[in-house]
Amino acid sequence: MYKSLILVAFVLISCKTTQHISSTEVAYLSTEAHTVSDGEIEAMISPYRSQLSKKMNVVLGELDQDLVKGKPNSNLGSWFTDILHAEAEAIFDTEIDLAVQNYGGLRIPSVPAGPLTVNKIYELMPFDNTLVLLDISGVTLKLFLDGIAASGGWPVSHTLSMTIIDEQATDIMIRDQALDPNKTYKIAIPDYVARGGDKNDFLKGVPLTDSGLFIREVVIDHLNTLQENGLPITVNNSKRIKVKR
Amino acid sequence: MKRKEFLQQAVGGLIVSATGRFPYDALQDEPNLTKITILHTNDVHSRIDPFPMDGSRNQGLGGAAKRAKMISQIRAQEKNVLLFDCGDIFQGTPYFNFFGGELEFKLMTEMKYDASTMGNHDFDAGIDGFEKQLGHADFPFIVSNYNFSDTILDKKVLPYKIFEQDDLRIGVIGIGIELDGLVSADLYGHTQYLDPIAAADRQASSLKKERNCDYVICLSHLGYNYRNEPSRVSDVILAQNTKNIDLILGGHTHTFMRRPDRRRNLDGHEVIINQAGWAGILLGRIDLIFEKNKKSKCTTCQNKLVY
Repeated sequence: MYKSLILVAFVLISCKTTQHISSTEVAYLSTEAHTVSDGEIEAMISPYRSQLSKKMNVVLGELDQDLVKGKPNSNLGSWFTDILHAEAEAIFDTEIDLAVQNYGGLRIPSVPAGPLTVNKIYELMPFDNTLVLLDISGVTLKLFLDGIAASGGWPVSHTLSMTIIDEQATDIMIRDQALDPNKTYKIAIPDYVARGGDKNDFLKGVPLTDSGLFIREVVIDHLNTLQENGLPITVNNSKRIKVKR
Repeated sequence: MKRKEFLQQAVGGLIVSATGRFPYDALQDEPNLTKITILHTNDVHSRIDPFPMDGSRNQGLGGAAKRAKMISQIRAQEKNVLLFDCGDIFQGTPYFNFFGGELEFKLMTEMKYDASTMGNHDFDAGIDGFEKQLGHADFPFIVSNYNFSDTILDKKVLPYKIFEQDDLRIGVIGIGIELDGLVSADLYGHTQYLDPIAAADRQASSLKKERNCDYVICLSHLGYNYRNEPSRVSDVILAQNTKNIDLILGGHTHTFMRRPDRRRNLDGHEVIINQAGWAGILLGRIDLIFEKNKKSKCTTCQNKLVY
């Protein structure tokens, strides 16, 4: 009796049809191998592209070197934050101690030597992040720099030097002075970071002045001013962050 | 050659078409075999044009018009094609800054995307900015672990969707990344992030057990694998801590994979994890062949993964 019940159950189960996965084949198809474009898609893009190209193809100056993003320092990051530093002093009409850009906020790995277009600045900094000024205590600034150290180093302006040891910021010098926990510093950063982005929750309460200006517009303005005054784009590639292993 | 051997070799990739694949047509006389071709992108980031020819690293790569051509060529050969995106459609070129994502959605509609999940950057114009463009997207967004009920997106994003292809039922779920700390709170508003493992497990189990799906795909924007943060939830952790998911198509980490990752889930079944770089540089392609048969019997199954 038992046996036949088991048999019936077995037959019932095995009669049920099931979809078995017989094979799985995976490939990564590169657009590189394809030279043909879809005409209808091209036609859809075209009116948008022509609206943009007038504004985007404007040349802001000539880069004499490839700018490449990297950690802990990079010529791209240093160039970018030095611009933010200079512009923040003009915008907020005060001397500032430091400008910082979050690493993930720079969205392309390199900017090639040659004519630098508005389009490239949009690619580099597409976010509608504004430039803000923080009045930050030395203690909180140390926390902020430790976070930067833990992630391997972010772009910082020329006024900072520090050494990363075991994911901590050490030997911190700001405008040639050792970091003073009792002092208040003025630092320029993207509002995204000031509002707690990239694990910087502790910055949320820090007094903040928002310029209301998008960071990419600040950079474009800076480059326009250089060009209007016949000045070249310069890159200060000094080593700001060292790593000790 | 015996029929069984022929089939084993055929689906095992030994007998292949001129394109290096076993084409849909070749299976027409095999009523028990069904082929599904899954195509996927992630983190396209408003890369509508190819990268400019300016000496930078990715010059000439990507571009929607080329991708569309690749897709339509595959559609010409294969009957059952599903096309998915895994989020971060928005942000990265002026097309997004000036047109707010309108063109991205229009092009995906023209390419006949079947579904997409949402990435963190799809909130960059705010939840209102995303909602404003939804009319241009003739394909659904699927997110199983964001609760939008207190937002403008209420009932406009699906928790899952079932696609019927020949006699197969393919269940699709979507998993978004934690927004707090990644996206400004004013942009995501009252979107509530739910535990991705619990949400994925619940939806996948319901699709397999109650809704008779044969295969469950998870479109994920969690990120592939965080080696330096082993406790941070990722596609690898999702695969290992759930049941009933067969395939995870990922995004967020912009990972170019040399081969798909294979992990065991809680039941010991294999989960395949794949990702296709970013910016539309690559189109991921996964060809699945299913054999319909009695539960204990499968003529062609070799549990073979070809790449």
